[in-house]
Amino acid sequence: MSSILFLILRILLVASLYGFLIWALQVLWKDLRAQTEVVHSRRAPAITLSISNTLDDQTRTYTTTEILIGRNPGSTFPIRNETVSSSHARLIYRQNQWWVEDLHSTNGTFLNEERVFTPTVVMDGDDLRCGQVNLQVKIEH
Amino acid sequence: MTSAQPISPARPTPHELQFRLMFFTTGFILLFAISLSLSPIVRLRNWQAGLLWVHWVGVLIWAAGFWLIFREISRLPHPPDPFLLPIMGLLSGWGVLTIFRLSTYLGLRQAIWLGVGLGLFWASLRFTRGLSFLRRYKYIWLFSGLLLTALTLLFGAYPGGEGPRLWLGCCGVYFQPSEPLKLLLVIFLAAYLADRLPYYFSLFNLLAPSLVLIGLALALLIVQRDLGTATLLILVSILTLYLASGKKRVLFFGVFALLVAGWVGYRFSDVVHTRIQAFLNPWADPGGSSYQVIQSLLAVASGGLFGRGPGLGSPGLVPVAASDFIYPAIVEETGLLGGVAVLLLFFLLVIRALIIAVRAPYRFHRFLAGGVAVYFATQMIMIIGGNIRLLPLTGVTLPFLSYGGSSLLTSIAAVLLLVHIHRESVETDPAPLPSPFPYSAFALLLAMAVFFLAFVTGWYAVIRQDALLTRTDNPRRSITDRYVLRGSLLDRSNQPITTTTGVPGSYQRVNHYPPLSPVIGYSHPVYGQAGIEAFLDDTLRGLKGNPALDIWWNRLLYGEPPPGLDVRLSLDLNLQKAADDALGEHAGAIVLLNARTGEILVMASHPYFDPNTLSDTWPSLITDPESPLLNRAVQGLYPPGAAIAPVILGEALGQSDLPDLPRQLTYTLPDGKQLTCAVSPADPPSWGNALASGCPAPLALLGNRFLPVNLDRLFQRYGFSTLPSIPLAVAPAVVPPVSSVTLASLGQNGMLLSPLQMAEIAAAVSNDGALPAPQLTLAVLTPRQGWVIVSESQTQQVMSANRAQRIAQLLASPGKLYWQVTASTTASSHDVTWFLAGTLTQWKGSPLALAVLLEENNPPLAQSIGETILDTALNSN
Repeated sequence: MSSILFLILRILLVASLYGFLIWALQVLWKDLRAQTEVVHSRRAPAITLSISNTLDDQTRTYTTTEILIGRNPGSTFPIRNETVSSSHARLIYRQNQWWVEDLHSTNGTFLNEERVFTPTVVMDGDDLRCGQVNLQVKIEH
Repeated sequence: MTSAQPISPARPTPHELQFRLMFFTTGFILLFAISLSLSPIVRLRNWQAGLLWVHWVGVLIWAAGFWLIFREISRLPHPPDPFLLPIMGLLSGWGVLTIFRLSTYLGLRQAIWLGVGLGLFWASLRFTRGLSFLRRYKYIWLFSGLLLTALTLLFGAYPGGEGPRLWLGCCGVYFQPSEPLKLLLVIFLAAYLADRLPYYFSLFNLLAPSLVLIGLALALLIVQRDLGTATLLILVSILTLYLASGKKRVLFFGVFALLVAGWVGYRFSDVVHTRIQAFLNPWADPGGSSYQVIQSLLAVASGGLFGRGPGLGSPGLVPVAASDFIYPAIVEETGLLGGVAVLLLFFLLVIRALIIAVRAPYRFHRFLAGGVAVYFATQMIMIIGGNIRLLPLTGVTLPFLSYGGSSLLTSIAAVLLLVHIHRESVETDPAPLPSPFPYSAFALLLAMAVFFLAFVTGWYAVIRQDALLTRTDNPRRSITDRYVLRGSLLDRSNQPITTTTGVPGSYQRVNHYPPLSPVIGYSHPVYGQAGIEAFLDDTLRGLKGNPALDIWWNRLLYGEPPPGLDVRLSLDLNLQKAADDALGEHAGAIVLLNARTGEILVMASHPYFDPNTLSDTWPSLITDPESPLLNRAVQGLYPPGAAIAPVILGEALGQSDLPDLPRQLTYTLPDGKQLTCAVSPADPPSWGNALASGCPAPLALLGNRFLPVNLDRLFQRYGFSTLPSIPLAVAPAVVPPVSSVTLASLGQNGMLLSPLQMAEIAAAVSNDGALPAPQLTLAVLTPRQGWVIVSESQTQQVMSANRAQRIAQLLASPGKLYWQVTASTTASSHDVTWFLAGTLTQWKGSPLALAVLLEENNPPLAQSIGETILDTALNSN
């Protein structure tokens, strides 16, 4: 008799344990699906950078959320020009906007000819200057 | 036109979710504690058994700690990740209760540590600037961790007495610095990488400083021989680097480093060598280097699918069950279901940590959460894998569950870090994630690891369960014997020979008639089993003969087999006593058979031992030159000598009439050995009284009329070389091919037979030439059908009934109802005297056949013993 009571206790024990697990895993699964949808819809709009005033003009389009500009060949957007620091500036996508941030460059970063000291929002059609290199910014809508 | 908003399934708010998970957690902890309190009632099957109460101290501390924490949380603007606290609550509560179940002392200590840990957790919920503080002083954290670990080299202690000196402390409080070192390393790596990435791309830049520090940490630990922590540090740093940098080269480097470290360890460290050997081939040394792992697998097997129930298993049998081997302890009492739940809880915890990492607002936060995920995952996989022989054993703790204050505090601190990281991510967007691949790959690998761990646990708990549990080094068998009634062994009129007495929990096996001990054997918790006790173990233990449903139900309810079945043997205690009295102090054996059915009525073997005092007498018993443990009736092999006469005579009678009796009754063997009659034959000499007296010359004359092949066939017909199917360990007889018919017919050709086989020869003579198969078990008392007869008599005709009767009449003793043959011969070590006898057809009761063997040359004594037994048997019927 006592053993039957004990068996019922053990069944309840397993039930509470698996109640926890099933509930948690189910929520986790739903959460994950919702999350992927959100991430999918929140992809950064494509951004195009083009150089106009140097010898080797270049135009590149990115769909990532972070772009590093610098003389370093490993940068996302490398520029071969002595007035550009090796890690000069970076563009990041945050809060549904592109921001530019100066990485303590020697010759400074300028947005529409204004020096960038703190992260600043970049709009479509803005002019960006790193040292003596002018960059045209185009952001897709 | 209006576009309909898709109806999303109602998702609970984090508060609701946390509340519900905490509801299940509390339910589980309370039910577990109640079960543990009630377990003695079930174990002893007695409502009066004392209940267990001490572990409620742990429950109270647990409940108070979490109540404080939740009260604090409800004041926060944002709830923490809804999974973290319920998982931490479930694991730590389960751990404390399991440790209480293993040892009250350790349980109380762990409960205090849990109280301290939860208190600190509660207090540090308010510090919102904690993370940047951690980041700023990263070098201090790492060096203080290393310094503390280094101090164990000088001031190290082992709380339990002798052992690896990995603890610091005094006055009963000990701390293992290698536990927080793991987390401090994670904090350092996260801070260091957050400062460097993504602007420094060189792999060297990434690895170099960390490698120096990791190397330092490892050197410390290898000197201290703490392999688990050393391996863990390599794994944690490499995987954290990989999650942070996303570079696969780091992984290749890590695998390479692990292989090199493993190889060096295998070559130069005996600890690693032993561990790897024990992992590759555990069954080679089950009592030595792989004892722990095998006991751990036995615990898992004992748990099975449903477990034995809280408080009902014997998880304490695994060494250090409370710390390193807590997983098998949990599986033993909650089964594969509990084990899989533990794995899934860790899976959930690590996945939540990874999600928190991906959503983290800054790099440092992300790397820190990723490192914590790696810390939990590797530690869990390493120790559980080691427990169930999926990986070599490394002594690390299972987070939250294992006993150990340092381990518990470190795990709680790791969750605290996650809570803080999560809190800062609520209002800020996630930091940019270059590639989510490392995180999803890590999650996938974790899922695979959890699957493998669950599969291997199931393999040992369900598929290999029976094979493991019947191993003789499973101590649960003898523990079960104290709680479940073992079947009795009874004689043919239900007089008890061996029974189990006492109350559940302290059952004891008692042998009421020790002279039968060489036959009955023993069932002893230390020395194992022998004799009938060993051979009929399944029946006596209730695993055979009970309905399969009963066995399943008892295993489910108690984790034990149902009560054992009584077995009725063919032995007759009254005749047995007469035989033992007659044999007295002489070394020898007696077998009395019912010649028709083959039932063994008497089986004596002297000297014998007392199974009730085995614990005291064992050392002297196994070294005794007289071998009292040996059952001489079936395991002793002796040359038959002239006692083989009935066999030879039977064959000779078939050929033609007997020749004239030779005048000279003694015989000289070719090697010059003189054979004589065992006793002087009565006057006037006749074929009958010459053979009955064991005279060699007439026997040799009969034997010389055969070809060797005739005798080979004859011995084959008697089945000397086939083993009888009785529940005893029988020594196989030695029956060499006949080369000299003279030597063979004198029983001198190297043939060796047991007393049981000699009694069988006598049975064939007294049963009209039909040789009965010997039988020892008559019936089994089943719960549903009462006594069920299990004996069935089989006979094999070895000569015609007419010839058998002629042998019996020739060898008949004057004035008696039986025939007899006495013979003496020389064995390798000592002389041997045989007395064979059987009833004549004039006897109207069941025919009887007797063999008496003495390990000395004493024909008159053999005769007198035999006649005493036969007179008793014939007069009692």
